[in-house]
Amino acid sequence: MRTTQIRELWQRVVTLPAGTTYCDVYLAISGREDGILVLGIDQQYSLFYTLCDLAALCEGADLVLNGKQIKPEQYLRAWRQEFKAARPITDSGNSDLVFSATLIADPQKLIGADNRWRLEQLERLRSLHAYVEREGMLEFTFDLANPAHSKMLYEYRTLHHIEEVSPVRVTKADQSIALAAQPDLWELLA
Amino acid sequence: MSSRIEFGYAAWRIPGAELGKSEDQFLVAALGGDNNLISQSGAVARSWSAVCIGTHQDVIRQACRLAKSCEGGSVQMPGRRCLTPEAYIAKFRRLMVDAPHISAGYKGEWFGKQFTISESVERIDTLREDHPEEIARLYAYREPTKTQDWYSKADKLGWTFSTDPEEMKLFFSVLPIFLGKVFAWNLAKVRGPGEK
Repeated sequence: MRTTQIRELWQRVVTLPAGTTYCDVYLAISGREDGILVLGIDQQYSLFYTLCDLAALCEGADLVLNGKQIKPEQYLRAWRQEFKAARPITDSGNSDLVFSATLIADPQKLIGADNRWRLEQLERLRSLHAYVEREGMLEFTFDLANPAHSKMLYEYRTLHHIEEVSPVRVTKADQSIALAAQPDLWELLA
Repeated sequence: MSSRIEFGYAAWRIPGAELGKSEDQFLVAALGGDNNLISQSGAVARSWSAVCIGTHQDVIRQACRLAKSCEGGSVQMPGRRCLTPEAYIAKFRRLMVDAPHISAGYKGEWFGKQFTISESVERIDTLREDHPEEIARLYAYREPTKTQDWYSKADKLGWTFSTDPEEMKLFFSVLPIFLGKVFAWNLAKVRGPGEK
């Protein structure tokens, strides 16, 4: 038995704005007592990898949904319903959530004579006009409701630069405290 | 891309009382093979392997880990039928309900042939710090066989247990410290009908 029980209060699945990616990309969001956690940004089958790991914790009540003990099958079914009902980030039904992420990049690493592709990426990032230079590092802030930002962020996450991108932060408009926890999922599962 | 096709399942319940444990233990096996590995008979080559082992909770938790492959179609049923992870987990729950009890005098089918613990020397040393009693019990049972991992080249220590009640009792008494780190197919060897 885990020492701490995960108490999930609500689940939500949203999609990136239309036209952002060539396939449907979802964000699975878990609202918990201690914060809002983005479980991942990916295609449905890939997100279910994480969800199955979490579902395992339901057996033995190390994870409860809405205060109730449920079976892993029920937990996954609840998520599947959310996937079916998923609406884009920009949908009015998701207006209570604000999605953002930051990318802190070292321009020295980005720019290299042998790395034209990364240079192009940097130029595209700069064209978003959403960055500040701090101590020689470029800090980009993505607003995921903006299709251009979403597209850029998703490309970065999928094209092996994930280590430079912060977890997606979600804040809920009606909560006074900014909830933006993203603990290490694997630590949670250990 | 290849996928695993699972043709059948079998499960057994080993009463906890016979193992000196408070909870019953289960062994779940699946008859499966890769869709692109064809035997000489022209059918998909298949064999039985242990897929889950331990208490009811251990089995369901392991089933959840396996179920993730269903979502992307990496695990399928015959006829390329896909299952959702939910249905896959529910299948394991039903298997345990219907599992025959393996106890003295059991005359039914029993695919369990051997139980194994095989870990790197380093891992055993780490486990010894946290679970000295269990590791001492293993050494008291017999000296481990020493092998080398073909991939990492790390030295490994191994113990094998027959399905004799006393040896099974010992195996299941140390099993909890290895669960979560080792897949069931590395802990139990099974053999049954229908292999091709």
